[in-house]
Order: sequence, then structure tokens, then C-alpha cells
Amino acid sequence: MTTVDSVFSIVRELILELKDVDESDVTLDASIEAMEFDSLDFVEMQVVVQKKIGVALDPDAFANRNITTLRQVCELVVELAEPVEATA
Amino acid sequence: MTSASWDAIFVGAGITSLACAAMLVKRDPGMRVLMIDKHIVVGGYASTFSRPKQQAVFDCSLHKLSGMNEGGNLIRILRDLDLVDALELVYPQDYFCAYQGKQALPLANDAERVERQLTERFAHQAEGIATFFEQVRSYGRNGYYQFQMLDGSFEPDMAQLRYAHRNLKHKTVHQGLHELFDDPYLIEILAAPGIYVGGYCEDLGYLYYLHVVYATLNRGNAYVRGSSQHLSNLLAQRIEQAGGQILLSTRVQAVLTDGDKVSGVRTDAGTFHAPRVFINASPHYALQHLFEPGLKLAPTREKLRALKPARSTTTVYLVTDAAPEQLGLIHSESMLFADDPAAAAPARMRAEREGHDAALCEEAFWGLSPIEVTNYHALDPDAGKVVCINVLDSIAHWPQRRTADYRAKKKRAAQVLVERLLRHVPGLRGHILHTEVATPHTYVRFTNNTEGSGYGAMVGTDLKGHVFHHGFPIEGVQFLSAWVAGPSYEAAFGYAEMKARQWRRA
Repeated sequence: MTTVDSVFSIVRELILELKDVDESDVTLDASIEAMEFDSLDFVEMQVVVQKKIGVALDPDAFANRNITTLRQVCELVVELAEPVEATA
Repeated sequence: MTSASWDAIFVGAGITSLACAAMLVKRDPGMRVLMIDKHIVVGGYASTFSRPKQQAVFDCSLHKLSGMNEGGNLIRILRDLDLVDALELVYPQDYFCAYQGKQALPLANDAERVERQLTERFAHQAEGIATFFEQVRSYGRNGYYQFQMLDGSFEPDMAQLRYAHRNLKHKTVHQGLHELFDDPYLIEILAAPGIYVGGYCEDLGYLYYLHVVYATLNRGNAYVRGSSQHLSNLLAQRIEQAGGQILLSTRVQAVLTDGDKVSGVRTDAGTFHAPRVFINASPHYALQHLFEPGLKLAPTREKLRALKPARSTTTVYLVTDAAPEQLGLIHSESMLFADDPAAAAPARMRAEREGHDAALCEEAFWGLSPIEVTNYHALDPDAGKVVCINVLDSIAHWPQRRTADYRAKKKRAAQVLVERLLRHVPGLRGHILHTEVATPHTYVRFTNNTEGSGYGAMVGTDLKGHVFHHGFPIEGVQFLSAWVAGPSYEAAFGYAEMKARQWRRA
């Protein structure tokens, strides 16, 4: 099952590899701003999420939704991974 | 019309706007689209102006379209829009012809053949040439299929992606090419496609540039007969046929908001309402002039500081008294290089370091940098005997318009650039009937683009500014231009397609 924690461990590993940030600064409540992501970093993150979790993040999801923290990124991935159950 | 409500309003009728709106009305035929532009024609840079006395039509942008062979992104999109038959595409024989001194090296319009030609001409650099073209085929290709990568339809090699990210992304073209080569002329030839996206070798990110080479060379290129205006007009026609309206010669004064949502625009011709507004303008201009004070735009402004404009151009339009190809300009596109190809980059960097000193800039940009020459007559004889010279330039050393200094400088630019052309193609001497110069200020005047950039933002090694629109605080506003899509027609259409796919009516 995809959880916020399981997504975060993937995202965290990627960020540590891509960016020169302190390990202790990459927390769920860290802002995306603080990670200094550029447009190519977003592409790589989206490709990794697609490959490892099977979720296609809309390329513009970050622009259209008010996503500011890593937690919100992970929550979006979880939301997209779980098909919404139909209510009778 | 003022009281009518629209589904979407487009501020600016540039090519990204036109492409996106044409795709939207195709997907959602009942959709009500309003497009507004201050200019008298549609297209932004993808437009022309004519000089009836000279029987000439001048194109404001180099409308060399990339991605036009099988597997190309742009040809696929144009087919989806059913535009290919109406466009009359012209596929040139050469990628471009490189000139230095008395030597001409016409590069074939085919990556493998160019690789062979360069290996033959620069045998001492064979190893680097092989590595370079392999980089284009792998890392350049991954960049080119970015959108497909994101939607899962293109499977990248993760190891390649990671390598590029770690080792290529932080390099400029200058650094990337100097690691592979020491022949300065070869470096200048290979850096020349950067001109298509508004950057010199010291400006552009190497990884992005590999993608530009892949798009323009490996995926084919073509021109549109009837120029860029024909393409823009066809898109406009599609929009209008579907019930959309395009208001020209109308300035948008402000984007209107209601709380944290967009509600419409105020223009010279009245107020129009819509729950979605697409901004097809320089974001610097938009933030400075179009949004009311008091909105919480400080974070966007802060991010925007990192978004640097690509270079502007100085363009010299020429009309000749005979077909230019009969006077010796036989290729549709030529790149003219200085006698000392190693001198250009250091001269530009020095001119900038010294506060854009006018004399240093003129020497660096006009005298030493490569200039791109298009023989428009060879592509479309109906538009007249037109030759166009383009050089990437900086607005910083140009005086204000309508001054004696400005007029004198325009004259100097024409003299220097035309003389360089005549040295390489002496047959043109004595055959030029008409000369006209467009400067970075000309481009600001017609497009409001920051520093006259015709390419939107510079894609350098620092890409932080390119996400300026993320988390934009006003709901319903979208930025749609080369400033977010990236320079070139292909990027404009690719981004427009992505935006059109995301479209949901409010």
C-alpha cells in the first residue's frame, strides 16, 4: 500500500541525491522552496514517482495546486495512487 | 460584448496562445474563447510586416520549425490539428551552411551525415565528435521527450538521466564543448544552434542545448511557406471558426480578480469576464503592469528575479534586385563565423563585465559573434527577394528610441552586419536595394517582452526561476508563453498541448 511515509522515503532519497541539502532538513514539513527545486528536478522527481509508485504526476500539478510542503507532495501521490472508492 | 462572459480569456495572441486556444476549441467545441492583443496582427513574434514598395514581406522571427520529421513532437501536433496540408512545409536541404573566411561548409540536414562531415573536416577531433553525437542521441533525446516521459509513454534510461543530472546539468555549453574539443572553429559551429533558442555558449545550459540539437537536427526541421504569419493566421482562423473572438489593437490594462480568483480583464475596449485567464506575455511585464497592487504577489516576484531573459536580436532585413541564390547565397540558412572563432566568447564576456560599454558590445556582438543569415527568397519566392540577418544582441548598449544616437547606431549595425555578409558572399555587393534594421527596442515595442527577448527565458544552468508560476496565488491564472514553455515553436506547441489537455471548464 502507498502511504505518505513510503512515498516520503522515496522522495527523500531522491532529494538527498539531487540537492546539496542537509539530511536533517529534509522532513515532511519542509517547504519545497527550501529544497530549491528547479524545473529539471521536478521532472526527475515525477519520473521517479512514475517508475517506483506507478503514479503519473501531472507536470503542472505543482503549479495548479497549492503545494508548498513535501507532505503535500506525498499526499498528492497517495491520493493519485489510491483509486477513490465509489460511494453507493 | 462587454457584458458577455467567456470560458477563457487569452492576454496576448502570440503563438503559444494561438496554439493552445486552437487545441482547446477542437477538444471542447462549444467553448467561448476571447483573445486580446495590442498589436494589429496575431502571432506575437510569429508574424510578418510588409513593405509594398519593395514587394517584400519580412518575418519577425526565424520560423525554422524543429521536430518536423517522423517521431518529431511538432509534426505530430500539427497533424493532430489537421494543419499539415494547409501549411505547405518546406524542408531545406541543409541544416545550415557554415562560413569562415572563404570556406563554406554546408552541413547536411541529417545528424549522421553531419557527424561524418565534421569528422572529415576536423579529423583531429574525431573522438570528441563521436562522444558529442552520442550525447545528443541519449541525453538530448531524453530531454526532448520530457512530456512523454512524464505521462509514461516514453521510458527513459534512469542511469542516463541520473548521469546527465549530476554531470551535465551544471555546465554551460562553453564548458561542455571545451571538455570535448580544442578546435575553436568546431566549437563555434557546434554552439551555433544555441542561436535558435536565444543563447550563446556561455549562456546556455549544456544539457538543455543537447536537447535543442536533437530537436532541430535529429528530429528534422522545416519552414512554412507564407512565413510564420501564415501559421499564426491559420490557428486564428480555427479559433474564430469555432466561435472564438480575437480583439486586435486592444491593450489589456489589468487582470481583474475577485478575492483570490481571477474574474476577467479590463481593456481599452471595455471589461470582459472569465473564470480562466491565460497570460501570454512576459511574466515580468505581467506582474509589473497587469495585476492590481495589493495582491499577494511578493513570493512570485521574488522567484521571478531568478528568471533571466534570453538574448534579444538585432535583425537586418535586406531586399536584393535579383534572386539572392543567383547572387551566391545558395543555402536557405547560413552561419557566418569570425576569422578568429576563439575571440567571440571572451569579447562578449569582457563587454558585459565592463558595464556593456557600447564600443566593446558592438565589436563583440556584431563584429565577432556568429551571425545567422536566412535567404527567405529560397524558401518562399512570393515574399520577395528577401534576406534576413540575425545576431543575438543585448538591449543594454542600445540608446533609447527616437534619438539621434539610436538612429546612428542602427546605421552602424546595418553597416557592420551587411559588410560581414558581403565578405562571405561577395556576389551580393551592389545588389542590395533596401536595408532595414530591427533592434532589441523594436521587439520591446511590439511584444512588451523583457529586454526585447524574442525567446522568453534563458535556459541556463540555473533553472530556479523557471518555476516562478508554481503556487501562483490567484486561482484561474495560467502563464502560457515561451517564458514558461521554453523558446522555439516546438516548445510553444508542446506546452500549449499540455495546457489544453489539462483544461477543465470552471
